[in-house]
Amino acid sequence: MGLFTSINTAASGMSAQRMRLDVISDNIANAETTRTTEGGAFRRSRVIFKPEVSQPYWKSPFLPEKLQNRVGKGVEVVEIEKDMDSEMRLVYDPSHPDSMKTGPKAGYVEMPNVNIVDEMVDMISASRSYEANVAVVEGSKAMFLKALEIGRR
Amino acid sequence: MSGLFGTGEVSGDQVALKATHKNHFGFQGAVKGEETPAEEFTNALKNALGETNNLQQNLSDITQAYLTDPESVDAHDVTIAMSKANMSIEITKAVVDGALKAYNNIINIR
Repeated sequence: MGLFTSINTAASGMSAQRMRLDVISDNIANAETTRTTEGGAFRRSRVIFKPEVSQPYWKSPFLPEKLQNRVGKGVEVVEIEKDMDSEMRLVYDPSHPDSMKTGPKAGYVEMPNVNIVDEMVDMISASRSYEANVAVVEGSKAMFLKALEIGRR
Repeated sequence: MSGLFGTGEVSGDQVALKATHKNHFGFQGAVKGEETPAEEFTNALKNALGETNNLQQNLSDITQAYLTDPESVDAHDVTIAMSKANMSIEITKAVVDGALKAYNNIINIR
């Protein structure tokens, strides 16, 4: 409702997309990392978003209209989780120091489950979303300037 | 029982509760005969000027932070603080222009 509500909302979206890009760049940078502190190869990270609401997120028929949820306040990052679902990439390279020495997969190296193509597509999507949020800021500002023109000769 | 509910504002199975006390949510001073005077224009103007000043100071803080420690601030935070400060100064200018115009109109009455 305020002067800056939509701008603040768009700013939260922009911050969220920046965070997403940070995570994508971390995934791409670690696309060949085979050794991590928690053991095994690197696993790609994913960002989970959640809407930021102005009031508690429930609805009740007994509440006055004023207490019901209205316009949200943007998006926030809930967590950055590791992708444990997708399969790790196996590459045959017996000379690699992290290759498996025994077992049926001897000679194979476990590579991160990062797919560069997917990450690039995600990156394009993040930049486009960022642009969309910038457009919202521009639109809000244009509206405000139009409102200032009312009554001006 | 019906005294709990406000007049009108019934949509479907939802009935708006009556807000009679000032601690009630959505109380708008509906009790008759107790009209509060509107906020003085001077106070409103002073508050608005304070808000504008806060935005300008926020912009200068963010710009300083961006120059000294670029890792701590996003670029869009700076530009958004810039447009917020710009928008608030524009509206201040519009209000001041309006007041001046009113003053000039009055002073030109002959």
